[in-house]
Amino acid sequence: MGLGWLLEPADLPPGWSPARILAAASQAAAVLAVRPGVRVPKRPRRVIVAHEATPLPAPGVDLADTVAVATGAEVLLVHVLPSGAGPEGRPKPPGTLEPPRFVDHGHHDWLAWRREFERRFCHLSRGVKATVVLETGSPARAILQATRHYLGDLLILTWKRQAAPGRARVVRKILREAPCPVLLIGEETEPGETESTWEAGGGLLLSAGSQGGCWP
Amino acid sequence: MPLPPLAQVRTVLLDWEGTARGPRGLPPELLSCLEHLNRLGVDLVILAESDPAEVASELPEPRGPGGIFIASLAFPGLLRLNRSGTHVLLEKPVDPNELEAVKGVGARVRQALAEGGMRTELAPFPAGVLLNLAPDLPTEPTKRPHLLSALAERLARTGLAGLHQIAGMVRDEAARVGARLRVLPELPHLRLSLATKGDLARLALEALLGEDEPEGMLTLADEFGPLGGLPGPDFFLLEGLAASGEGLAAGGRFVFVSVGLEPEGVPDPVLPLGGGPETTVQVLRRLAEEVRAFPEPWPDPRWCLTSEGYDPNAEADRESWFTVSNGRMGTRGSLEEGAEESRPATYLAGLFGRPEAEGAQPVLVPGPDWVHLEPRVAGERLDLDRGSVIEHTRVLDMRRGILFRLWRHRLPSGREARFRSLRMASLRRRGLSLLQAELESDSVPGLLSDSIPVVTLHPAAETVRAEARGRGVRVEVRPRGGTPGIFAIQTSEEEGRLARVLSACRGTGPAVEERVERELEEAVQAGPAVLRAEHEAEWRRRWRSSDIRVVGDDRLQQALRFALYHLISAVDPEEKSTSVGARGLTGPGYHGHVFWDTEVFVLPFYAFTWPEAARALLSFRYRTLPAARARARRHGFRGALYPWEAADTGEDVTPPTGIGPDGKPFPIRTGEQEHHISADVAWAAWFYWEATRDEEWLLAEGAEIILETARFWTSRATLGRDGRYHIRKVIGPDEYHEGVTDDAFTNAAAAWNLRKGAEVAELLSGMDPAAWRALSRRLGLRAKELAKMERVASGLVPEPHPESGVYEQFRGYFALKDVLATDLHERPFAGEAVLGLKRLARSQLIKQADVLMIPFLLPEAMDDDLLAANYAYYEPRTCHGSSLSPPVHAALAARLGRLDEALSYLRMAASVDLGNSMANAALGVHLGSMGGMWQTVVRGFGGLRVAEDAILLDPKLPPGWEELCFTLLWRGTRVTVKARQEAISITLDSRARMGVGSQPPSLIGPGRVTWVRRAGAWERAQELDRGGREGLRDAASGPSDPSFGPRPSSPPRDGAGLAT
Repeated sequence: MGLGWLLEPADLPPGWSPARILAAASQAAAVLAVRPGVRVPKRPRRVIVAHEATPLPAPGVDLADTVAVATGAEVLLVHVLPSGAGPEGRPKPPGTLEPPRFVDHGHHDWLAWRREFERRFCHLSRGVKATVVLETGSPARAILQATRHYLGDLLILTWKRQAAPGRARVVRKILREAPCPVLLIGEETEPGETESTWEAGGGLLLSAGSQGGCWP
Repeated sequence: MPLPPLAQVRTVLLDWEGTARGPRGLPPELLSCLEHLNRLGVDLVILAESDPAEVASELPEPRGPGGIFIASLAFPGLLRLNRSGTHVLLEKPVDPNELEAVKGVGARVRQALAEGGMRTELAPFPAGVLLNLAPDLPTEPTKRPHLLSALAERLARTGLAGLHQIAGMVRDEAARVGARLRVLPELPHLRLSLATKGDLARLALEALLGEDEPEGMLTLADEFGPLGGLPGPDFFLLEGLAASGEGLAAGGRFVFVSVGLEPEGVPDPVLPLGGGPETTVQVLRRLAEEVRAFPEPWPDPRWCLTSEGYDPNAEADRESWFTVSNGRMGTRGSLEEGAEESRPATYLAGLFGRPEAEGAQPVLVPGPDWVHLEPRVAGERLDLDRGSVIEHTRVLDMRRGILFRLWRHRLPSGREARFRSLRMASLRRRGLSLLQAELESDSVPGLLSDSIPVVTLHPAAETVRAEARGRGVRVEVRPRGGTPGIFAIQTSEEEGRLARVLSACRGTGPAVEERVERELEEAVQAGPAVLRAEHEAEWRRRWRSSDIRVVGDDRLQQALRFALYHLISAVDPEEKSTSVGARGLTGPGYHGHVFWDTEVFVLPFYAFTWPEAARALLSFRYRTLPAARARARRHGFRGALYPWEAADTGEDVTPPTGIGPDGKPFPIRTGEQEHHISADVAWAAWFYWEATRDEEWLLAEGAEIILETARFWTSRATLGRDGRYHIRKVIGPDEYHEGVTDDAFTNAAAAWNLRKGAEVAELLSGMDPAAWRALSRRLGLRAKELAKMERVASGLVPEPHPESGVYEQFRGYFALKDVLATDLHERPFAGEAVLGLKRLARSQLIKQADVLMIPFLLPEAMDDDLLAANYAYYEPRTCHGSSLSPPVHAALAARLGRLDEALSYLRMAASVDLGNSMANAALGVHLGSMGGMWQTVVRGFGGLRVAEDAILLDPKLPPGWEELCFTLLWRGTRVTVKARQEAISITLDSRARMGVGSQPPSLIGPGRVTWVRRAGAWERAQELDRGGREGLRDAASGPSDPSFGPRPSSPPRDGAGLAT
């Protein structure tokens, strides 16, 4: 049984910066970051999960599911098609679902893509409502835009735990501008390593392997 | 018997005298062997020396899918045996002057021998003379060694060193008089002949296969080896087959067996078995056994699509690729035992149901999962997820239309199980599909099925009723608001071997039920081997008319055949009440709906390779004319407005809204505004007419389609204050801009449609005045309305910019924000995902060819300069957000000579399914893009264009392609085109008008004509008739046919005695 804690502002160390959060997060299975001035709702209505559409383990989806089951929140999976990206981008693992490059009949093809996305990557508990959204542009901007547009109460990001200067630029930007709490999960986090529940008091309880948290 | 595997053999060349027929006549078992092979679809070519009528009288009546042919030196040509006797398939007439020359040579050699004291006899035969060197000696084959020594003795007495010396005399004499002949030792004769069995064999193969690559072939003869220092008469079979284009280079596909004595040995690669006709029977029996057994896929990656291993995420894509279909029923390539990721489905064409949800559109309702099995070994279930996979391979044998699966698995208990299966949708009996499977473990048979096929209730189905019947099950699927489908399935399983037949039909009532049961029973009676043989024979026929061969690019070759395989699989030429949906019967994508893809992208392939199929598709549009008329009326127009999306009834089934990539709903206006579909259907009708000149169809159906769509445009276009006609509020093929005025393609297509309306009226009034009067009366068409068609057409034609030559895509297009797709994102990309629909609408970015669709459909509408200007403008602004865009650009780039670019676009088209670049191959393959690939190759690289009464070709091969070969059916003439960079040969089976390059068309054929490119222009170099005889040679062109001559054949072993 891990430690876990209920995030209370009083418990958190002083000083807030993306670098500090990343430094903490690089040692942790998961970190919840709340930018100064951002409201933590008592009950989240919408959890945003950024998803790369790869079949790699997706602890973010599992966490979102836990939160959704606990709170009734809707899960919104955001996949970003980076601007200018072509088919020859970063190598993707087999089973990756790229957005379609040809869309003959939008009403058929987009629905088909979303359903395939859900089938492959949205293994959520029964009753959890999920929506898949494709955004285009710079990944950070696109994720932030979707979070704002869909009024996300919690944004879940998976990251590679590489906090060195010049790395994790997307995460840094999101941490700086996110309109809601951001939950950062290490990419190699095993499913079940991190459990979460949303407490009625307005916070996320992380357990089993969680080691840190930041609060304004 | 030391024979190589014969399972791939589909053609037998059987020497008659001495090999099939011995001194005691035919062995009694031979006829039953030949009958059996005929039922198994093996083609049999008899190579004889005697009268073909005598040979035919001894052969069985062909009742199976195989053909029986006779080629004889006594009748230089090819005859086909059918139930009513023989008929001449091909004749190779002998030039009387050449024959006289041969006779003269024979007479002079005979005289010379007589002068030396040797008595001989000379007897004529249709292709030369027989010089009998020992009329007094016995001639039975068994006595040949004795005959040879007796003859040698006699020659020595006359002072001759051997047979080769006489052959030398013949050669010298032939050279002196310029006679072309061969010397064949048929002891005690020397046959001085203008033709050999090798020539006959080559002729037969060319007639049977055309330019197809031969499948496995077995040649049985008795005299391959040398006799008296001369090559044996059957040696020329090796030579003839080598010259046929594939021959010995086929590496093991051709098996040569000698059953003769062969006293001086046999040349490579002949297998000397000896034993005469009795051995022939044994070899043929072995062949029948191997062909009948569970087959293996054709071992050529250019003909097969193979998937190794198992990838759960790609499984559904593979299942679409591996669909077996015959246009009436299609079964996805799902795993028999099922898996979480598997999406099994069997579709019956036209089985549409309407889901209960409000506003839901009709969808294809799947039938039962009839291929489902529950394989078990000693009670252990075989499952990819339990134990470990040793080998798992699926091979789609596109040549034969069969999907194979081979699976070796280590079960949790440690046992190794071996499973294999095949499935096919019969191309001969379209109501039938076949599944065969085998399972064993350590030589112990497994159990494959102990349950009925899986039956589920689809949301668009009202009821599904399954009922066990004996060893089978009968399932009735009743879709909501549609015609039911009946599926009868029968399984037989014994000792780990299973055969299951599905018989299905859409319809209702006792007649349909009786038909389904009868066809099932007949199939069960026939057995799997016969069903496979018929099916394979039908696929051979289809490939002969449809194949595209690209030498020099095996990967693209495979992709092209994958496209052709699915195009052939998609259509049922006997079915006129349904059309081909954009995904065929390969998956649930687009709900089975029919779009313009069918007429503009797919139908041209059928029109030029399978006219019956094209006609069936057009008949669907004819049958749904009432719905199109009603739709036009509802929109306030006259004539026929076809639906943007159609299912079974011809009603428009385009939904009013959809959900975009951003997850938000958006209105769908294509159903309401994409009216060019009506002109597209008319274009397809005219295209079919151009390719076939099918007058009966034009009178019965085609003219009405063209006239009613033309009539639609007279009411759809409005006269503006500028005195021009305009078409407002439409969507062109570029669907990023909606509600536009004077879309260039729509206007051009409408103007064309209007002109064709007037033209068809004139054509019919001349062709059949009474029929025209009846039709015009029925349609209420008057001269005034026909005149208006011309007037509106003239007022509609879009005009290019006077300086740049570029057409404005629609009114106001040039004023939009100029954005290049090439600057925005790597293409292809879906514009709405990258920019959003609103921003797209404000930009000059387009989804796919719109202005460029004009020269794609109507090549004569733009000359090359105009095309180049428009291509240069629109191509960089095109996102290629539609799978139909790359083939259009490929074809046009090829026409412009931008061959690298064309090739790149063709590869892009090939990636739509094989690269899953639409991310939805799981829902079925994209037939429109596949049809576009055919058009790219044939119309683009082949340069095919249709003139008034001729077809024109102007091939331009991209770098790396050594040869491009394709076949067309042009108004009843089979035209085989073989193009290389600097030469093109065209083979026709009857006369037709053809032109190459800028040369004016002329009437040519039957036979082969060759052109060569000199200084950039095509020149006619050689013309050969069907028998391969030279008919015309351009004296100025020098040596003929530099690129298509026969490949060098093996030199004669002895190197002496052959006069050629």
